[in-house]
Amino acid sequence: MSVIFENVSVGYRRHEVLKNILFEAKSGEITAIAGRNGAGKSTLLGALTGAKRERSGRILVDNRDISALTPNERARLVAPLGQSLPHPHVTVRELAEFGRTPHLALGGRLSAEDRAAVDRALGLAGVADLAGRFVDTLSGGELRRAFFAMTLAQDAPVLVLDEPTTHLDAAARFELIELIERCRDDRRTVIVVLHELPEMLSCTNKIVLLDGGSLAFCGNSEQFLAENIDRKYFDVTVRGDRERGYSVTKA
Amino acid sequence: MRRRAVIVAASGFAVIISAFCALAFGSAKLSLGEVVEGLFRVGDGTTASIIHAVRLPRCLAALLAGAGLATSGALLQSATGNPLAGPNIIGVNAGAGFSMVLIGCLFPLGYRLMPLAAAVGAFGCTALIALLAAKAGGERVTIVLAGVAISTLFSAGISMIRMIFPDISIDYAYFSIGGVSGVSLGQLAVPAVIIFSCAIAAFCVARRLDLLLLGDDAAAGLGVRTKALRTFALLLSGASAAAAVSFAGLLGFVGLMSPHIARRLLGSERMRLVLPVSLMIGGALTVISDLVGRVAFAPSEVPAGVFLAILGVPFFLTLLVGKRGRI
Repeated sequence: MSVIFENVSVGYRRHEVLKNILFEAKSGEITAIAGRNGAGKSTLLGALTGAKRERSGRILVDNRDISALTPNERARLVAPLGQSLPHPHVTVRELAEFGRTPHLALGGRLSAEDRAAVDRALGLAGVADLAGRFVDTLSGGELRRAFFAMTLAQDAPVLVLDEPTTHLDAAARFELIELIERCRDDRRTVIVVLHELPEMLSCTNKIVLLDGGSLAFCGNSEQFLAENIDRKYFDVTVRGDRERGYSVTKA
Repeated sequence: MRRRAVIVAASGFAVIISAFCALAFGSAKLSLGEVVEGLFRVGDGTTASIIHAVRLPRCLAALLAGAGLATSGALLQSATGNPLAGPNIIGVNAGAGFSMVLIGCLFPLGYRLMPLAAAVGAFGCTALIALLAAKAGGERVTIVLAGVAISTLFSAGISMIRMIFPDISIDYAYFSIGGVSGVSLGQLAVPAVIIFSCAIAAFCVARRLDLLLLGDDAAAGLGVRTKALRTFALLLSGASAAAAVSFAGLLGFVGLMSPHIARRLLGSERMRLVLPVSLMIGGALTVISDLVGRVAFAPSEVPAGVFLAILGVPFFLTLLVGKRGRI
């Protein structure tokens, strides 16, 4: 299921944060949103999840304009995972069950199908063994994966992840990237904000670079390096390739 | 899960036991058999009269008032994310009080208007706060701030009217403490319908209220219209508390503490559990407080509102200290 940003502009009062953004994220691909702090990455994700309204242009998910969808319809198509995660006093299973809300009628209860979806999500996120633990007792990596299970339980074809690897140690980051790759292999459309260039270059199919709210670059890892985007926009030099991995040094 | 089921069942049992005690104890002690006979109007006519004319209305009033205020408190704490939220922060106390002193001033002989005045004042004040909070963005903090501002305004209005008209013939002191003495069954029909309708509506949106625990952005990502949900919860909370205040006055503590007691006993913040358990705890606490107030200093009576604080606070503090502040 493709996501198309068609000349999308988003702003607050007189300030325009995103200007005429145009790109397509395809099903079975990971599209990274990159840029320096304040470039408009989170605003772009917010426009897709409905937290921000576009001023002009359209966002199409499976050729449906998302501004014409109800919040419930949108939540069945697009599942977001936020940057800062709270610590509610609920179990990991209860948290994953929250992900089924868009599929339930008001006052409705979980069906056998919903429970099966929750079990699948817990298994895929690797937290099935933590299902009975309370979320406020989890480590940083476990917390991310527990929330990832909630996002997966939403069963939406489009995943929108805002800096999912932030504050995680190397092993936990590796696990999470593997999880994101599994979602791609599952033919989902993954749109993710990543700050670490080696991670971004090695796992994504497309990189959308924002600079001052405008689209500065859109292409794959090889084009990213060929056009010296690392030096121009991040003041670093990236060496390596997908096979051997990437390393970063100060430009 | 088993523990939660036990807590739900124990809360229901507490309601039944407290209600039986309220019907059995008083100036005339009745046995279980006499209570049952009295309820079904068989056997001694005097027993049936005691139960139907005095104890049953009072017991039902206490149950309803406690349930209504606890529902109101649970909804508010969930909608605002504020553990200190109780019906007073959405203007229930100030609105009801202002409306009563105003009616007392305009219609000195209008005693019959007082319950309606209290309910209209309480809900009107809540609706005003909901409107202002929605206009100001509908965030958690704007509800609390709008509530504090409007409550202060109405409290100033109460003081002003009472200063200008010191002879207003309403028993404001009894109303402000809260109690269910002298309530008749006829007074309870409409509030009962309102309180149970609010509780059922709250239960229907309980799953969505739970999502507010994740923050507004995450809840919106799961398809929740957060501002609309918060306004709806605020109005339900105001209606439930207004219905209780109309016949029981400003019973303190129960609306604030019952949801906390429920959460600590259950070890959960899920509204599907917290709502029914806090409703039952609120009802049982109010019935017991009224019973103690009735029998402890007989033939004198102390209003239920006083004993709600005297009995409820130590119970709550025991739970708080016993669990070291954890839920």
